[in-house]
Amino acid sequence: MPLTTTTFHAIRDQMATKIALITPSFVPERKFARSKRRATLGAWVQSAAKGEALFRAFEVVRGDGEGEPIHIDASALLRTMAVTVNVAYPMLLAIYGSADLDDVEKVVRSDAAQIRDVLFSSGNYVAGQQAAFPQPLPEPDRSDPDVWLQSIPINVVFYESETLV
Amino acid sequence: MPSSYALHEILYASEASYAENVTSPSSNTWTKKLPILSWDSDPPTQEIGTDGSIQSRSNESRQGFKLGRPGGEISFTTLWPGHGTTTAGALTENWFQDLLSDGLGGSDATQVGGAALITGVTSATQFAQTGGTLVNGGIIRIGIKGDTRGDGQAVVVSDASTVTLMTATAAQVSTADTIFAALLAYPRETSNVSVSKRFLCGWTDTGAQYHYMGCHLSGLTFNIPLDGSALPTVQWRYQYAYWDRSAVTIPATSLALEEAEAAPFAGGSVFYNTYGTATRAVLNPLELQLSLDIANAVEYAPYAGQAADQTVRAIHRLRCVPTLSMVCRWSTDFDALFTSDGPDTTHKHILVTCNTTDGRSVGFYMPRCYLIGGKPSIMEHSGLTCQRVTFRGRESALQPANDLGKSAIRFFTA
Repeated sequence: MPLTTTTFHAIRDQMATKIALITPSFVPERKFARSKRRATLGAWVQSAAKGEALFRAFEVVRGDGEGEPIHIDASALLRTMAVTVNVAYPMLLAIYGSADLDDVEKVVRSDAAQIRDVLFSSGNYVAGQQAAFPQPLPEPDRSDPDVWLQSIPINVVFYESETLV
Repeated sequence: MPSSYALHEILYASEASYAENVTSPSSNTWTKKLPILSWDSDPPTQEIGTDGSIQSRSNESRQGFKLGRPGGEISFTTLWPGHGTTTAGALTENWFQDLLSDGLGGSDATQVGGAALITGVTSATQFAQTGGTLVNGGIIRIGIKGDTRGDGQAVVVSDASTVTLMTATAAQVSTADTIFAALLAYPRETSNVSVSKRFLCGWTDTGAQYHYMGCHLSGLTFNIPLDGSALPTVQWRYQYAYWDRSAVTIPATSLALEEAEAAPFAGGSVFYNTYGTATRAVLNPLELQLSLDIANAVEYAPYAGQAADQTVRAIHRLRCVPTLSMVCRWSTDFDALFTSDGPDTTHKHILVTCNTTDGRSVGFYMPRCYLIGGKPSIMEHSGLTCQRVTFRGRESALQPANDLGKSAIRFFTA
């Protein structure tokens, strides 16, 4: 059977699909919603109304840094690509429970753990994808007092086609 | 202009007879293209030195004659792939199974899994099934991750007719659970003439295609990272009898790169209990490494047939000894294993399931093994108190009394 290759965008879409299926441990009635606007999530939350629509809006984008690909042969390579899942959390504290920042931290942390588990699980890979290794979780970006952004870095390993002669 | 060194590929084929084309490497044909991560070749054992004669000037020397035979060792590393497609049905041998089973001598691809095959359940070590095909001493997986019964983990079948298990499931399985079959590879002694392989490592530069012929598996090392940072890999080592260059076109467009769907070690388990005790108990090692010490013997004959003066007729497998090294959390249990030595040795059996994803699941079973090496003491691993323990596999005396049932190690691909 010939080697199956895939692409970043196929993996990205699969990751987004799987994240959207998560039932969050906290505030489970509000699921993750992929942001597909013509702007990055960070840019969008700056311009958007700081409403509940932002809660758990997420995007899957290429991250910073990438390992040296391994050439399998002239038709395929094994690539390790840094991918980042960004999730928005508006500071509408009533959403989170008892209306203090501790609850926000609790939800953000729990969400990140669930997302990492779902993406790491090999049952959620597309054909050609070999791994999704969660990386150390940075603290949320709190620079905007109205919306926090939690980035979740993942290293994705997959076969990618190439055409070399 | 020379091409990039990275731009190379490895093809292989089974030889119809040992080193069949050593005098005509251009006759070599190839059946599969391997998905390798890296490749290495030791310097051939044939070399030229100086002739050692005394010269009139101290700094003068002369080239001698080439010595030794043009053999050596090649090695390459691959991911540890699963079956590639679902194993809830019949199985298809892939390149991994082909290389592994021909190298070890034993292969079984007859098992058939499927849904709704389980017709009744007696206990966590026995159930009835109809419609599937299991083999005595074989390995299957049952259920899916998180079902709290089979959990998708591997189990070892002692008696296929009654489906009696050597390694229990976490709880009684259900008639709703799916049986996933597995390809099996194991050392075989009843017929130990090894099927030789030939490999072609070719670069795109014209003529830079190296044919290694009369190849026999001489070592295997499985690296199994458990820290969620890398994929399990296998380093294959082959002794070759002869090499030569012979130009072929690279890339080889007639062969597609073989499939290799792998997965991290996650969601699996390390079953660990006393030899003969099927009760499910698990270890949680922080590190695993499995190596096989493989020995081959050369059979000489006055004339072997492939080349005018060839005297090597065949290669026989002599030994395949598995050694499993683990870093485990500190415990006095391993001290006790060290204490019971010699005829009082306490044997264990260990079944490793690397993951439970259908088509990507791999692992191995050591049915009877004992502690070797230094007395387990204490070491640091990831900031925890741990011990390094090393187990050597030996043949099982339990049923079935065939090569599969006796084998000191058996691999499964599911």
